[in-house]
This record gives sequence, C-alpha cells and structure tokens, in this order.
Amino acid sequence: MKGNTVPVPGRIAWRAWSLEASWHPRRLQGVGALFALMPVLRRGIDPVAAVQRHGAPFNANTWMAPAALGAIARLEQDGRGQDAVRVRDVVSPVLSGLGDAYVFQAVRPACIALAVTGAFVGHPVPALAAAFVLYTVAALAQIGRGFARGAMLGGDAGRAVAQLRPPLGVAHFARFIVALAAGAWATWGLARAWQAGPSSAFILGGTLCVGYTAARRQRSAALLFAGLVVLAILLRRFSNPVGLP
Amino acid sequence: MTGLPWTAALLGVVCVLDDAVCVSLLLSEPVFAGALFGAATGRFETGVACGALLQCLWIVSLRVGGARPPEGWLAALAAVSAAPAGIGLDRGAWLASEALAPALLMGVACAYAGAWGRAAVVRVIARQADRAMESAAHGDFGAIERLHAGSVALHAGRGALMGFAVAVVMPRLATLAAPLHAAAPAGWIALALAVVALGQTSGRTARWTWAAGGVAGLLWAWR
Repeated sequence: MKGNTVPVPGRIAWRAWSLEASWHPRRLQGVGALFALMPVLRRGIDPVAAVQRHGAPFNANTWMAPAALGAIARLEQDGRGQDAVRVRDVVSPVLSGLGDAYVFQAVRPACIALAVTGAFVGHPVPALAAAFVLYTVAALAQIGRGFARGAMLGGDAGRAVAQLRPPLGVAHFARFIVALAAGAWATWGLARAWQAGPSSAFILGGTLCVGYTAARRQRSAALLFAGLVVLAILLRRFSNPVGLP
Repeated sequence: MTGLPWTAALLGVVCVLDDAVCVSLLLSEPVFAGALFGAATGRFETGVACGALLQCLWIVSLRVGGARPPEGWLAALAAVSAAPAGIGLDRGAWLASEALAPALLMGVACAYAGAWGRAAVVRVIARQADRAMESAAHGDFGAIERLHAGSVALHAGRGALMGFAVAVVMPRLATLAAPLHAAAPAGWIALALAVVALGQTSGRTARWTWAAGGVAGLLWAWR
C-alpha cells in the first residue's frame, strides 16, 4: 500500500524527548509513547481504537525510540494500525538493544571518562565542556536522524534496521576511548599512588583485585566502595595491621 | 551559606529532569552535578573532586527497563555540601586526600535514599496511569497529557525537595561527624573501582588498547 504524502509531525520527536517521565513498571514507557504519538493518533479515523492499540507496554532506548515512534506515526497516519503495532512489538526492541550497547557501553562511558580525566589532570572545565558537547551532538544526531528515517521508512523499518542503527564508526571509537582510559587510569593511578606512598599503591592494587572479583559477581561498586572505606576508617582508628597511611 | 539549599533545590530539578524525565545529556552524572553545584556555591574544585570520585563508582551504568543506578546527582550534591574546605585540583594530588571519605560516604547513602524517593514517585504515577488509561479508552485523551505533565511535575518536585534537604542536612551532619576524624584513602579505592568497570566494559579483546593506555598513563604520571 502506498502511504500518503503528509509528513509526520516533527513534534512527535520533541514529545518523545520526555518519554521516560511517566515510566512505571506495568506499562514502562507506554504512557510516554502514547503522549508522543497523540498528535497523530487524535487525527486518525478511530482515535479510541488507536489509543487502545498503543496502550500496551513500550520500552525503548531513549536515543532509538524516536526512530521507532517515527515509523509507528507514519503507519498510523497511513491507516495501517496493525503494522504500527508490529513495528512497536518487533522492531523497537531490536533498535533498543542496539541503542543500549551504543549509548551505555560506548558513548556515555567514553564521554564521562573524558570528563573525569580532565578532573584528574587538573583541567576540568575544558574536559567537562568537551564531554558535554560531544555527548549532546551524538544524542541529537542519532535522535534527529533516527526519527527522520523511521518516519520515511514506516512499515519497512523492520527490513531496514541497518539504516536506523547507530553509526558503527562512532561506537568503535568510543569503545577505543573507554579501553584507553582503563589502561591509562590503571598505570597512572598506580604510579601516583606509589609516589604518595607504597601503602597507597597497595590499597589501589588490592582494590583492583577485590573490585574485579566483585564485578564478576555483579556486586554494586558503590556498596563495595562504602564497605572498603568504612573498613579503612576502622583499621586506621583501632589498629594498623597493614600499614595504612 | 543561606542560598545553598535553594541552589541545590534548583539544581535538583535540573538533574532530575535530565535523569528521570528527558533524554539524559549527562547533567545528572555526579561529575557534572558536582561541578555545577560547586561552581554555583563558589567551591568549584571541591565540586569537581567529589563529583569525579563519585562518578568513578557509577562510570558505567546500564539503564535498561527498570534497572537504574542510584541517584548519583544527589550523591554529588550531598558530598559537596558535606566536604571540607581546601580541596584543590593539583594534577590529581587530591586523590591522595583522605579528608573526603566521610563526605563521599554520606553521598553514597544519599544516592540510595534518592533511589527510594524515585521508587515512591513511580508508585504514585503507576496508580494514576490506570485511571488515565481508562479515561483515554473512553475518549478523554487529555488524561494522557495531564498524567504525563503531572509526572514531570512530580519528578521535578522530588528533585527540588531532595536537593534542598541534602543541602540543609549534610553540612550539619558533617559538623557532627568532624570530631570522629574519620579518614580513609577513598580516592584510590574509587579510582581502582572505575578502572575495573572501564576494563570490564571494553572487554578482553581490547587488551592492546589497554596496554597502549597503560604506557600513556605511565608517561603522563612521570612527565
């Protein structure tokens, strides 16, 4: 079926910006998705049926959701409600998985590592500004590009996931930065700790071992940190068996 | 000091909107929240130091579905409020400072308290969502819009309240805890945990990149 030529309203992408606001365990981002799609659903032949179609749970990475919502809006505008439900249920989880790996395991840690490195070297302002700008540009580019392509593809979004996925080059570069930061922080930290005192290097090295074991068992780093700090405070206060500084 | 709670409340709103409402642009990450709060209260270097160390604990956080890290922004606000004066950023020398440990511990506690507050707001939203969906099914589409706007307001109110509360309570708590002289090498511990998290995220296939980073780190330390 050939779709109509009315463009999908850009305010759907704008409304999808606050997708997470009404998140709750039963519908996840379902209410946020309805809120984003409302300009299109209201104008349909049967708005009540359209709202009921999209009342089911919806969950997507916020960088990828505009691509899925653009495709859904296109299909709803074309009167292809069942195809829109298929995109929501089948295509958006795939896009979301790609987005999670891109955002939370590549771009976000890389930008944060850049910002924290700036704090370590004593130049926080340029590092914080660069991290913020790079991250914002990456987010806006993905959201804008994803929404435009999703709205263009409509029902073909499932066959053209490659056109909607985040750029591989950026992902590889961000992962490179993360690995580089891991190596650099480890040796820089050990060297600086050794300069501060051998016991500092012992604490850093010991925490690396304990942290590695805890991470393999999916233990919270924050709780481990609290436990180790409290232990160090108590050891310093009541005894000094390992030569803590 | 009188403007501190109101500044924290305003920043709390910004951070919560970034973290729980909108597409996050890093403002709610501890290093950014700490730097912003520090800059707004005239303690920028303390803010960056506390924020960077807390950031090390949540440097890689996967936000999938309901899985969310504790409120790192609140931890940063609390730690900056409770941190002692005189922390300077001198090429990482502050990592060896042991005076930040109590403030960071208070920050971690506040982060988990913040997660409890978020869960409470989500429960309210879930109850209201059932009613809104029922109204929408009967043609009242405005119910969805009202619920969504109400959710934004609830989260914003939570951010303001929590920011205000930590800025009022934490300095007093720090004063009470001062006679204990609690000190610990929190900087080295946090740095090590961040290295583990980054290494785990980049995977073993990146070992040559780790090695290159390691050489760069050594050169950087002894330059």
